[in-house]
Amino acid sequence: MTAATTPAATGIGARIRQANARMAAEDSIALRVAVAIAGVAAATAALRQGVGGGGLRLAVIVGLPAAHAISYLTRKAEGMWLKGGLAVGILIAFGVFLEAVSGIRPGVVTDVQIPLAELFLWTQLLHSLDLPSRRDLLFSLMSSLVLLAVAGVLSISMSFALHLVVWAVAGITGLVLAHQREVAVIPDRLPTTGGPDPAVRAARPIAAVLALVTVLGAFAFMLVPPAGTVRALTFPAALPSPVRVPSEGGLSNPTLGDEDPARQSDPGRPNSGKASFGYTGFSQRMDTSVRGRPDETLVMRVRASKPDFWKGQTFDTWDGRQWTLSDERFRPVRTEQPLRIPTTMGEVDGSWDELVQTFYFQRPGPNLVFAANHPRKLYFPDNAVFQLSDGTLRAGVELEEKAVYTVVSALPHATPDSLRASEPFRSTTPPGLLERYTKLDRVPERVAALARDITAGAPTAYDKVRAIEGWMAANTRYTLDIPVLPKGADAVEQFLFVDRQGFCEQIGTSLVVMLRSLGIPARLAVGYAAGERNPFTGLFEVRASDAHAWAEVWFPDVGWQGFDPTAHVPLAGLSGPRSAGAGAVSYISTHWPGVPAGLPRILFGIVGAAAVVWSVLTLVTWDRARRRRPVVSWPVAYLDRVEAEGAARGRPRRPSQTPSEYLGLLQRSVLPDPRWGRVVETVDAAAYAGAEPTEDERAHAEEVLREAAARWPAASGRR
Amino acid sequence: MTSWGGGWRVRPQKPYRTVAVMAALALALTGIGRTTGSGWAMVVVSGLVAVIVLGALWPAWLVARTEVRVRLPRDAEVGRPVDVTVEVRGPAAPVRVRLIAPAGDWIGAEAPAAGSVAITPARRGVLDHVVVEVATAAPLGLLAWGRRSTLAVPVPLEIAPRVVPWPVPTALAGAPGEVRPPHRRSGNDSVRTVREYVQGDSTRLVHWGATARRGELMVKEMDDPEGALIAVVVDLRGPDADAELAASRAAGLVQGALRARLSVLLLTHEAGGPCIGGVVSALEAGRRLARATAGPPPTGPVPPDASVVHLGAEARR
Repeated sequence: MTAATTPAATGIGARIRQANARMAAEDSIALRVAVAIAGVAAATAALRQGVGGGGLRLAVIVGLPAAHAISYLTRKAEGMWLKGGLAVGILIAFGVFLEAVSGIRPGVVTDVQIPLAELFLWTQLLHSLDLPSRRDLLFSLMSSLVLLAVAGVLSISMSFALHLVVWAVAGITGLVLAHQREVAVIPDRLPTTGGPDPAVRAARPIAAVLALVTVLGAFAFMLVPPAGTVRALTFPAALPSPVRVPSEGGLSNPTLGDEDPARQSDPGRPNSGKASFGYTGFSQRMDTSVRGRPDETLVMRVRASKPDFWKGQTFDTWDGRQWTLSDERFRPVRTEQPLRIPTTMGEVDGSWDELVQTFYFQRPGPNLVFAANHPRKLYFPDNAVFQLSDGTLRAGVELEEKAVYTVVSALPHATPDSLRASEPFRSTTPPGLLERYTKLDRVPERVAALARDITAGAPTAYDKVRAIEGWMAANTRYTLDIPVLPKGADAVEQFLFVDRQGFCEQIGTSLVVMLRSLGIPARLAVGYAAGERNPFTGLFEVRASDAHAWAEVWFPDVGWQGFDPTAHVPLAGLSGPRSAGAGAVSYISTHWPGVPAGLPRILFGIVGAAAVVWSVLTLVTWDRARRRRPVVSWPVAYLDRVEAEGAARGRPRRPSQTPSEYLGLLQRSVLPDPRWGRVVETVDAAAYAGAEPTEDERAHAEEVLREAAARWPAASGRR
Repeated sequence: MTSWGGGWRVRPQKPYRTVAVMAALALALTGIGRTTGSGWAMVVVSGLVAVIVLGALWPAWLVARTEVRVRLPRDAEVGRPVDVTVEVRGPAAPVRVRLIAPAGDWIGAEAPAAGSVAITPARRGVLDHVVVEVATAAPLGLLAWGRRSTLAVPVPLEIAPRVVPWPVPTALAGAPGEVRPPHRRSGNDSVRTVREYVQGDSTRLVHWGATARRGELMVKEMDDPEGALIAVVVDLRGPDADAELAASRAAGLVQGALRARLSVLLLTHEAGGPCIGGVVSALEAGRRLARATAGPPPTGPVPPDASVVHLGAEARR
């Protein structure tokens, strides 16, 4: 008898009919509830990312659970009308999708994401109406996983975690229950003879799988490659409610309140005061004696494959106390999307590594287009972007909360050797650059003398920069609490010779001033440091306190190269994370104060120790089982062979016969041999007296059997 | 009865499509995460990897730890269902169990479990081992692993041929309607042993004393039945189908002869060589025919007064 099998279909028509044959209706309500919860978790995750309008939102929230209920009630019905209706519905949804993407330029994946997510939502909803069998439910579970993944791609915040956790619990429960049901419906089933209650039997694997998936998933998170934008396919850009800045190409920073530069051209514009996250550096001038002390407000999230400085603007004119920009002339950048950013004076165009960065504004900010150095392409929803002579960019609109743009920057392969070989005094230096960026209206003599002393042994401009950086690292201290700058005092002189403590503005300014005193072109850049990488979203979280100022030095073959005296930063920038979960432990302990800093390590330690203990116990159990295996004694094995020989000759041993009786019978009938007598004694002594046969006795017995069997072959045996 | 079967010789079973779909999804999501910078995509990938690893390896562990024991009866007949006792022990997880040889359907179980399963032997012969397959995809149903265990049987299952009626030679059976005289016993007639009654045993062989003591029907197995003797020579050399038909006819002939109270001498070839011996019951005949193999049956010694009937492949009849 063999297991019943469905006959293989032949021909395309038969195969289609077989594939669409109605399968057994699934009666498990628990399984259906699990799948429904997973579907709702995925759908609401997608809705939360702004997918779909009000109608779809209502249809999903109300319709999805209702669809599952209808599906349960109609699971045994033929439902051809329902299937037809669903097919029409899905075709309509697909048509809407095609219409939505018809205007999108080829190769732009970004704009397809939302229509695609809407299509997935409609498919999930419609498909939920017809889930009669277990296979349909599993298909629904898989499609909800795809929908969840789509929502995850769109998500930039931790709110997605809740949906993911709910889906994981429901999805794993669904998988376990589905498999339990698959075995439960086998017609023949052995009754269980013990163990826990059925409910416990069903629940225990779910809990075990969830625990193990959590642990294994955490390990996998530490191993899988990080999300990246090195080969980016999506370039998000969005402006929720674009508002023009008062003056075209001008600077606007409403977070500075009264000091908003845009108030000069539009004094009547709304003023909500200086925001706690506003930075005074994002203005037309920067007073180094004042730092606004921005708070920890999350101002933007940046998606990039590695950290960098997100530069907003630069300053070139120093008066001993504050920085200003000497040339505010701008030119509009109006090209096809993406906007091609032309190079400006001193910028070098080369085939360098691209760094794709997407900026998600979480708070209103200045209309500076932040970007890593050397922006080349800009995906910006508005076509009014202005480039200043220093190469930085300003938007023609206010950058409000939820504004999104993507920049592609070109990162030079700067190395100490390449910078040493790239002296800024060569004939290739653009006219005007040396004049503009080495100009110092006023520099205290002892500052210039200190610069000369520090760099006396440095042969190249790069070595001079490193020498000054090293001196400042050894002789000054970074702090936000500095004494008030005396009236009329030079900020650099006060920092280098009196206070010897300061923050990034003093430190960066001192480096720039000393370099300029040596004739090396340099300027001060302001923007944001990279921020903390969130390993879950893969985004750098930039807070107001990350506002930063640093020095930029010009080299002929590289262009402007950033140097940060407040921290050692490699020339080519910081490398990206090695794995998706890099930094997860510190991130968790930082942002969940209730979680002790060492808890993740403790948990990993416990899991590792449990794995070791389990392995040892398994080995011990296996070894014990191996030792317990019964060893067949020689007399028993010998008698088995004798019985086999006797049976082959028509003289099987009867259960009632003792070994000696049986051997005697064989001696008299089919295997006559006079030596059997001694064999009988040996076997009897071993079987009944426990006397272990000697080697000679064994050899003798074996010889008798072998020779008798050879002399009286089975073929000639007679009863 | 067999020993418990378990161990690590496990292998994955088709279909692989569920785990392949999950792996493809994880791969696609990795690509999406690597090209969109979405950290959540990589979180989902990590979870998927964990589910795939767990779903692919846990069943292997479960199968390795699940032990199966099968208890077989001593006798069976081709085409007649026979109850086999299957016991499963090990981790509490849904598993499927089936007998490969003799073949049976899948049955569901969750350890500890035990019960009877009916199998219908398809071939005559002696089973000195059974092959059992255990498989499971628990707990996630992504990938099934299975293990086939060959379990030795201390007391072989002897599968008798299907009984095909075959006429007893008229000279021996008597004319239709003729009542043969009661069997005459001689002083040489002796009880070899007493055993449980099985269907087909003659009622005259019931051992009433043993039956009273045991509370169930017991019958005598006799040595040297006497009376008119028929020697049935079974030659199974030749095509399989013909050989099996010959064995079936031999079973029918022997049963008919025993019903006619004839003494039956059965001449067959077994694994050990030619075999000759008397049979006194259908059960004993079934066992002899179960053990019979293709080979030259003995030519004697057959008492001169015995009627000899040759049964074999058509070409050799």
